[in-house]
Amino acid sequence: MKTLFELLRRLWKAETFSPTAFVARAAIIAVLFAVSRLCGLQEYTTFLSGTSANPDLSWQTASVLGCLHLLLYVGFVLLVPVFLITAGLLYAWKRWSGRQLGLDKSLAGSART
Amino acid sequence: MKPEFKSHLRSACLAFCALALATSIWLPCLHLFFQKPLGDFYQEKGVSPKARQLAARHLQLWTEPALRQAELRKMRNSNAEWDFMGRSFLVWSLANMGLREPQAKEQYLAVIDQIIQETVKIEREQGIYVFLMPYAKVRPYVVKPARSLFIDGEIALMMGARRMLQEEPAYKQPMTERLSRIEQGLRGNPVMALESYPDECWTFDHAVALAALKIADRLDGTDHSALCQAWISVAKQKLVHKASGLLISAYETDGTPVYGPEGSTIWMVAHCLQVVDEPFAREQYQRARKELGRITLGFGYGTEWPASWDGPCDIDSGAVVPVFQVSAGSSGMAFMAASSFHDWDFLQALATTLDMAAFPSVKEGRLKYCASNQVGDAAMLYAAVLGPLWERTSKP
Repeated sequence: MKTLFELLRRLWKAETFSPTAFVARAAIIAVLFAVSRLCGLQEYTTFLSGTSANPDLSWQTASVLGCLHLLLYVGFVLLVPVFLITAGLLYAWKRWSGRQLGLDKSLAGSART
Repeated sequence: MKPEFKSHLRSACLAFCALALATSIWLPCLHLFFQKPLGDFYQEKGVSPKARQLAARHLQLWTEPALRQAELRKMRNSNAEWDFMGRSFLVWSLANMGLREPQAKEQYLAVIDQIIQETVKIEREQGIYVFLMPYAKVRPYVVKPARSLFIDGEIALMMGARRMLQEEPAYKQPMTERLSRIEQGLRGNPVMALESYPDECWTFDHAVALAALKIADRLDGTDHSALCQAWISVAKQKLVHKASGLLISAYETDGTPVYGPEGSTIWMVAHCLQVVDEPFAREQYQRARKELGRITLGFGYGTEWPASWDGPCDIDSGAVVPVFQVSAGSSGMAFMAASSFHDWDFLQALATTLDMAAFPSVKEGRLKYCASNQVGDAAMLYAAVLGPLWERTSKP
């Protein structure tokens, strides 16, 4: 539990453009989509065919619920993988540039001696 | 510039470049997560797994009245036509399934008969308007007494499909009567146009009626070839949209165009005309494929209008996604044409889109697409099993 809170704290405090921040965004979208799926909002996407999933509910309400699920799904399918790949690329870049910096420093140090 | 801001800007630029690169990596790969072998959706012999699951759901709807009423209520709230078309597509599908697997024929025949008898009963008791949109009552039909080719053609094709699966003498006379009325109507109009709605003649309904006439020829030894060819000649002269070469969708009883070419019509027209005039049907399919069929990043879809025509968004086109112009109506109908003309690449791409965007839901072996409705699912089922009925009709 402590580890989980620590992880959440790190995600919350992460810099906007850091790999951690992108992972956090992906996680938030995935969780929201899972909640929407568990609540059965998928049924309301029938508004796309011009039909209401629940005739006892107003057309507008049913459409809003369907639209919400649709947006979360698009986020889950498009944004989550893109954010995770972005996080991976940024992490790799930081590692690589960090190593380069270390290499440069050690080369400069050996040249001085 | 403050060093802190400079560092922030650098991080932002880096993140933007990484996002762009990640997008360009992910988008071309996305379809791979939804693409399945074509045999999952359509098989030339037997019944595909998807078709079996879709059929299981529809058979459940027709064996559990409460479930069916709930489903029909949802659809009739939007469009009474869908209630009727859902029945037609299901009967045509089950007839094809029965021809594909004769051992299950009895089960399908029972549901087919139930649907036909209930549909005819409703039409007899409540009149044609029960299956039409409210605007049918706004003005009177030009030809009296009022008949709708939409209803007569589809019921005749339902009866014909049933009789092709197994002859049932009780359907012969009512089918012949409907087709005789259609024949008289076609012969009695200079442009061979019959109304589906008051002074509104749909190419879709004419193509369905012509297919029903061809099935009658097969079953009863009649010969409507000359009549069908006369309609094709008139269509080539009067109903072709010059810029695209596609048949227009709707026209008045004197042939004046109402709607130009539309995806929600032309794919089904090409499919039905396949048993009437195969070369012309194929030419229309190829034109429609070029003008309306698209495959983007592995996902197939249909647009509602060709570039040379801009029609109104309506109940037939369904929701149209901006930029790509993806039309739900056209994409759904494109399945049937792609199956009919064995355009496997397009069909597989369409099926990939269906799995990605239509929210498939399988419960206890029964499949439904949440983004669709009963008529949409029945149309998908038809696209997944069509073939044998047309083969038998065209057999020399």
